[in-house]
Amino acid sequence: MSHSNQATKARFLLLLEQSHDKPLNPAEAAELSTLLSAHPDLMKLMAESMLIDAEIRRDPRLLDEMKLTPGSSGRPGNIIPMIAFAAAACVFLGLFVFQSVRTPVASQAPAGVAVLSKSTNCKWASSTIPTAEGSHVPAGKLELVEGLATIVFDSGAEITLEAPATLEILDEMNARLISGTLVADVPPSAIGFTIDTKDAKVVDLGTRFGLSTSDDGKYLVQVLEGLVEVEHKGEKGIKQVTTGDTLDRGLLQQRINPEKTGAEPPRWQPAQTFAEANGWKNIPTSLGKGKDSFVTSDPGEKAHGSDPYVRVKYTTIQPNLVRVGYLSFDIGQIRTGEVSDAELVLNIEPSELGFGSYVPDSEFTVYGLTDESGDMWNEESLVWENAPGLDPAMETKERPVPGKAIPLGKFNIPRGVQRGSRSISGSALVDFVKSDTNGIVTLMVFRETDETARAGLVHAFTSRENATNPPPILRLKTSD
Amino acid sequence: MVDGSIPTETDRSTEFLKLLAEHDRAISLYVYGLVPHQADADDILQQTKMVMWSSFARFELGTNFKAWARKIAFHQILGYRRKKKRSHLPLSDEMLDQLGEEISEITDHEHLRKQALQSCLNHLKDKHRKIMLMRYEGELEIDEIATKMDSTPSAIYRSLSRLRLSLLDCISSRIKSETIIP
Repeated sequence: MSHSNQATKARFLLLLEQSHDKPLNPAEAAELSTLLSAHPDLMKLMAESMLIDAEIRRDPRLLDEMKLTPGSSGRPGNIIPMIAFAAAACVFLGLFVFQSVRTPVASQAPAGVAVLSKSTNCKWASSTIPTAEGSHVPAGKLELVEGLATIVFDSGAEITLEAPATLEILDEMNARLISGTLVADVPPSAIGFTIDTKDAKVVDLGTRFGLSTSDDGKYLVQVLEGLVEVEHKGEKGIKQVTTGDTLDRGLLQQRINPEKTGAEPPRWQPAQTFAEANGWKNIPTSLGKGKDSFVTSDPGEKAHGSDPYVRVKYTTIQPNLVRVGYLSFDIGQIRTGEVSDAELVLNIEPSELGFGSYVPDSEFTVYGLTDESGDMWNEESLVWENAPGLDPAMETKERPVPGKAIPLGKFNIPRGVQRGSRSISGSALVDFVKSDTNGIVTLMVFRETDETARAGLVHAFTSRENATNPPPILRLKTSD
Repeated sequence: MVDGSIPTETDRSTEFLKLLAEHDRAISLYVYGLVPHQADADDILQQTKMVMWSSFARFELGTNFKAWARKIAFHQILGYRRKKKRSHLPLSDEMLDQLGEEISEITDHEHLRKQALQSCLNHLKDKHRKIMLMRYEGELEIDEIATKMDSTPSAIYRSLSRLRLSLLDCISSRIKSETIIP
């Protein structure tokens, strides 16, 4: 056993690099093991190497920062910049903020790259740069909670951000839309202006276009005039989208139907599952034997099956006003054994009940009803007393009766947010769908966060009776 | 049955979320470090959190949450490795455990690592930057990088491993020079 030299290290890292792309062949795998047992210090090297990837995957801003720094042609590792000393000093003074938002790239004040030219009824959250109208803002993050804000980049490109939205300004020609909706107007001077989303890169070739993305990567590009190029990350080729065209990668697929022009349909009421590309099927609660409702912990409360909202609330202040959502999906047409991925999508609606100020950031848990005898509940008669998975005598009202349901996932709605959509996915949901035997799955939506004062907000999600927005949708991916 | 001494569900859930937020970085780095495939790593993380939540009642407040979380994550990773044969690290379970220990050790003790990495990334040569961006941001296959760089896959692998080695050298020298500040 010995310490490894640079050549051994390089060889080891090479094998490791290759193993990230495809399994090593037996000879290479054996070589890697032999190297590891002969040189115990390689394990630490491997850990350090894996941590480089882990840090970058966890925080892609590391790369953004690199892009913003002028290139160096020298060998790395010789210069210790002042900023590193500064950071170190902070740690030892105990003032260091663990997840600092962004390390400045230069010691002087960061240069402005865009002007926040107009804001209408704007509310901002956790933004890292000034949000006053007229500010010449440097690179940084803007989080718009309410209203419309227009940002004019120094290149001439103009963006109108529509709340709720989070935008990261990178430089005068680049921005990243983390989530939300924007409309961009790009004059000839700014051709090549690029907006990044989680899964796409949209390059503008002189046009006006709308872009919307969710933080799970789905996006939609709609060109009002001109031409944009869209590159879907991880896929080969570039798609051109021209005047009047829409490119939809999973987002709002349900709402925007390109075949239908003219009058909006009076309500969104699909009669069948929507098959997307690559094996995904969308099953709304309005399909087949699907249904949605909620129950209130107040004896004598009526059934809510025909309400346009599924309301959810947790409170210990007024224990008779707890509300639990019930959603059933008809998956009779799906070969559940072949389901490889699943997602539940809920659309948040502004609720006219209660004050948002009295409810902090809220955590929700979705449970799956494992007791299938409960799947036959009826929208017209479902109340707390007869709701499957609940026990009227139960003291705690923020989860189902143990043994009748299992948790499938959680989502969060920050305080004051009344728009947007939330989803849960993952193997717990997949496994739950796969274990179905009667063609119907029932999900229960619980809020776990209590209100801080009486009359706190009741969260609302659109139900299948809602005239304007989509109902709860269960998306299933099958292998066919 | 409600026992007055047992914290309410809400307290527990708040406590859980607080601890989770506090240690999220350590837990994610642990899973990302042991599972190179991004989507799998994310699934494992979610699953880990679900298991942590469902067994949180048995977690004794005040004991080491991070260690407990990593232990659960490690079991999830092992389960996943058994289920799926593709693209996981070519290590035995024991070696993976050792790797996890090393990762935890580094994450827990070298708080300047991320800053050092940023600084070293910022000083990369242009060619290396390009490769970095294609590999990590564009998530391009090696073949595609090779085509774009007018090179061969094996040359790109060599560049990547040299790049990594110089990044690692750079990071350790940064950390060393910074920790000597009193």
